[in-house]
Amino acid sequence: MSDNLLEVKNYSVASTDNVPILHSLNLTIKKGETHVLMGPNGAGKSTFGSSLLSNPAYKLTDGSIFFEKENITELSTDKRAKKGIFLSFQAPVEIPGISLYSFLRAAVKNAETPLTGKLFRKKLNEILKVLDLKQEYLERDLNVGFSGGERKKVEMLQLLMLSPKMAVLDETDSGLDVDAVNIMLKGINEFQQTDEKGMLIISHNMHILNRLKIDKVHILVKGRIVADGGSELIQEINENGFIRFENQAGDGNV
Amino acid sequence: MSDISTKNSSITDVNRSLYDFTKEEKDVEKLASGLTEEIVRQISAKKNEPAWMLDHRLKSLQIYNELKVPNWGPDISGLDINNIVTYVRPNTKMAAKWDDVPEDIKDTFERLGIPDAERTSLAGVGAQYDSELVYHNIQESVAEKGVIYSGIEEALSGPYAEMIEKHFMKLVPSTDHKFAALHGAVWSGGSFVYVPPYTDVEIPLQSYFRLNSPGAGQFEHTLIIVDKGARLHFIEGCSAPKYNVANLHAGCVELFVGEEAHLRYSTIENWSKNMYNLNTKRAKVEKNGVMEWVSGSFGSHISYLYPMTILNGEYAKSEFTGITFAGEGQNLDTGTKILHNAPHTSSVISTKSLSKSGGISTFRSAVTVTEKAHKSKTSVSCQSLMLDDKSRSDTIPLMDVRCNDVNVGHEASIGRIDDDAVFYLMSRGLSEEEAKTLIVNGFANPISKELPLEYAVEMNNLIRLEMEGSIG
Amino acid sequence: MYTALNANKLPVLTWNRFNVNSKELHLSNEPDSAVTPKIITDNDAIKINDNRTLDDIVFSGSDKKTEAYILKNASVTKSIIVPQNSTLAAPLIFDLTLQPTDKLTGIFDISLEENSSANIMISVSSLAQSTAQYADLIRVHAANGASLKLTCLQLLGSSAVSFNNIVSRLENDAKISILQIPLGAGTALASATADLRGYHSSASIRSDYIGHLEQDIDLNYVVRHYGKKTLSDIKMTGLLSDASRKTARGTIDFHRGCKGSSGNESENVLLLSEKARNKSVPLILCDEDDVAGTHGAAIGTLDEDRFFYLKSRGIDEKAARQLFLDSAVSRLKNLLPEILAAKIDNYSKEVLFNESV
Repeated sequence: MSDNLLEVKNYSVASTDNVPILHSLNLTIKKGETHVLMGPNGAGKSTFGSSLLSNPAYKLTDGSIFFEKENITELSTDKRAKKGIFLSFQAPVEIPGISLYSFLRAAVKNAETPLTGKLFRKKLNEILKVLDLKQEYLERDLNVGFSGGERKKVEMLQLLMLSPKMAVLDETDSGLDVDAVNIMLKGINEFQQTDEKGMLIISHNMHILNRLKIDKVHILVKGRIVADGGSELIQEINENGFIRFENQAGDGNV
Repeated sequence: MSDISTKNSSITDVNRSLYDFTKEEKDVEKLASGLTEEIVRQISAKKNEPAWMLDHRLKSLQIYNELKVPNWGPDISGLDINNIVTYVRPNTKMAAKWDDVPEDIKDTFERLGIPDAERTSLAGVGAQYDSELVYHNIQESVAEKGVIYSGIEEALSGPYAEMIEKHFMKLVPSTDHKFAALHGAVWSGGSFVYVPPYTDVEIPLQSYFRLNSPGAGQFEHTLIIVDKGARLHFIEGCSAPKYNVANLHAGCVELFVGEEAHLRYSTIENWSKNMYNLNTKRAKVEKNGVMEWVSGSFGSHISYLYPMTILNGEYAKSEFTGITFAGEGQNLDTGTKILHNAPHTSSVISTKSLSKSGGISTFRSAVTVTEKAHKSKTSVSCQSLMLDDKSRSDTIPLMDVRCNDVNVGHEASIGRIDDDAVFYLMSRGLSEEEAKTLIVNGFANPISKELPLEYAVEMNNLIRLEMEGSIG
Repeated sequence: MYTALNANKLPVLTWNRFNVNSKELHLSNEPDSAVTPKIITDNDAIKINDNRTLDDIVFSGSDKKTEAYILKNASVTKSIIVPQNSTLAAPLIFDLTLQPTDKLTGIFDISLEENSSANIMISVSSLAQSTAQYADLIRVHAANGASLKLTCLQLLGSSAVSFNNIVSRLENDAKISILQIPLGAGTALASATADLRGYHSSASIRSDYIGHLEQDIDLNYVVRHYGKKTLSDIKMTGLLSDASRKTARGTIDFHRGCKGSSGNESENVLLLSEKARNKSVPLILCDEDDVAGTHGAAIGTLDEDRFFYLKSRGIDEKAARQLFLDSAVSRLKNLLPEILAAKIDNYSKEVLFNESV
């Protein structure tokens, strides 16, 4: 239980044109834990999620990042992915020329437990059913012409197929209808079943957070973590918003 | 500002006859028509120019004789160089005050609004009448910054002679095409501009070209060097009265944009409809430099016009904004060429073309991305509007990509005025002609907003004139 | 001895220095090798004979000299006549297998009588090592209300020369949908022209390629709109890897009188190698105002966002390239019946994915 899965220390991030975004973040996610990162728009939540996979749009200006106690600060995006970190994108891109099926095959090859032909097919079919996705999507180019909801489902499909050690979910539920949110929750619940995996949820949808097992909550305001706590923080924000925290951050800046 | 708006309202009253008046040719010195070594030597002798220039002229003549006319583009068989007078010297010396310009020539430029524009909105003006510059002046405050704006022939014997020799026809060599060679042999007049490092010329300089003599050619050479970190906006205007014989314009513009420098080159071309406009324009842009072309083509019988940008240094940028309006009897083949020759260079091409009353407009472009141009980006957008079913519009773009980590985008569309839009406007009380003119002006708006205000007004006027009587 | 051709001519010329106005090609004057096409069909209604049947139909075509060469040299001539009102659902397949040094020239005259429809495929293949030469001329006449799906698959070996030519003429309400897959041959030329003569006739042209090794691909597509309310759509999609080169010409030509017509042209090129070279010349010629023509092209590599997405799933650049190839191959396979899909599979195993190459 006490094994650290993901740890960032004194973690500072700027855009490539040197605008500071995140300031000295410290955060540890242990195996079996689910954390939530909340904050007002523009706080840097998505930047944090994306930087965990070394998005070239950002650069680390200070600090380091550890995964299973290994320093991965210098590792490239694909190497971090191969270690078992998964990012569910808030706005997944279209990639014409690559079919969803070929893409999944290639991605699964890099997973910790690669699946061979038959097993791959079997698992894929099961998950398609769970997510209510049609078979014919597999032959279409990756995300090309997919609706917002379909893209989110395809992200979830990848999460469940790849079965990574650590999942970072960026606004996984935004833009989904009630049925689709229920499907997502089913997927997340399934992922949470083991003690070995960790999860970071970036969200401001109180509704889905209330229906999940949450271990810790972090509040990010203006690029700084201004509060850490348990799920009671979710309740507070639900009632009062981020005002208290924003004032706090304001004070901190003086 | 109030000055400019007064001026605009007077331009609104303009009509075609503004451009279409002729002046009697008094005491002018004209060489025989045609092209021979003898004529080339005579032009050179009159100009008292350095020996290398005569060599250059003679070599160019030889190249001219060897090169073929293009096998693509509009038919120019109606142009017979044997009937073109390559050199017409007006009866005057170059003046620095309008009062010293002969009355009839001064009157021409007065009617075109040039001295007025100089007073209100320009930092310097050059005026060419047939083969020679007749007027050249630059504001004192701009001259004090070290900015040179003078006749290129005059500069050939001044302190910048060496700089001119180093740059003259180096971007557009005589071997480039047959009419570049012709230019190299018989060029006459034109301007030289040098902007020293980190100098910002805040208000535009303008050259105006007027071809008065029937059956003549105009072959002015414009050489502009914008040094490191400097900024300049240069405006070129051209017009001529209409004659029944072919006139030829084969000018050449060479622009050198230094590191971090910025040059905008705007042209409103309104040659008369007997003109063969075979003009060559080229810019070379160094690291972090920016070149902007704004090009309006309204006149000429036939045009071959493709201003080219060579993006030679990292992060160099170019923007080309063009409009071409081909009316009755016109075949206007216009566009641009871009050569991406360094990493991280970018270019944006945006053009509009209109065809009406049997006019032919062709958009032609070539975008080349060389092996060196990693991470470069280019986008081309061209829209054509057909105003009736007697006219023609062709789109002939070309992309040559030799580097893989680049982004090349292209889009083109062609069609006619949306009937629904016309109906909508007419339902609000506009006549059909008004509605269509409004829509065409809207179509041209992205271009006119790139022009200085008074030129935008002039352009909208030209469009209104072209649209007049277009219904029924 | 050979015949020198300036093939795949651009309908309106542009600057010569870019070398796109036509493709210089030398075709051998040696007599053809004996190759018998395998014909796969399960339909008796269709009539096939060994004579030319469309000599009297006027096609605007592409290059006259090329056509003359093929008419003179052809050793295989097939005429396919689809009778009035008949519908051939199952594809009629001509399967041509060439020996490594074969030379073959073919003519296929396809007549679709009124309100008939057919699905015809012509496949040309050889072993991976081949210096074969293949040239054909496929002429299509679609009478009122007829429709044709025509697929040309070319899988010749890496030193082969191939030139696949399609000319077509469509009458009222006729439709043609062409798919060309010039996957093989060191020099691969493909051309298709459609004359939309009839009212509301339409043409859709798809071209799919995967440039590899030192392949030189040269494409030329022209749709001429003559009839009122005619429709066209030209789509070229491909990737260029290794030191492959490709030139694509696509022309939508609106002739005076084709009122209410619309044409669309699009091209997507993914450059997967530093040595790959691409030229694109998309023309719209317009002599009529009541039309709508559009063209779009995107040439280049994946942008950073997309690469980040792939990398976030553990897929590095090399794997991404492979993925694009895999997806392109499987997309093509999905477009074809099993027998031809199997050929593509073979070709991709032997040539495209052969690591030893």
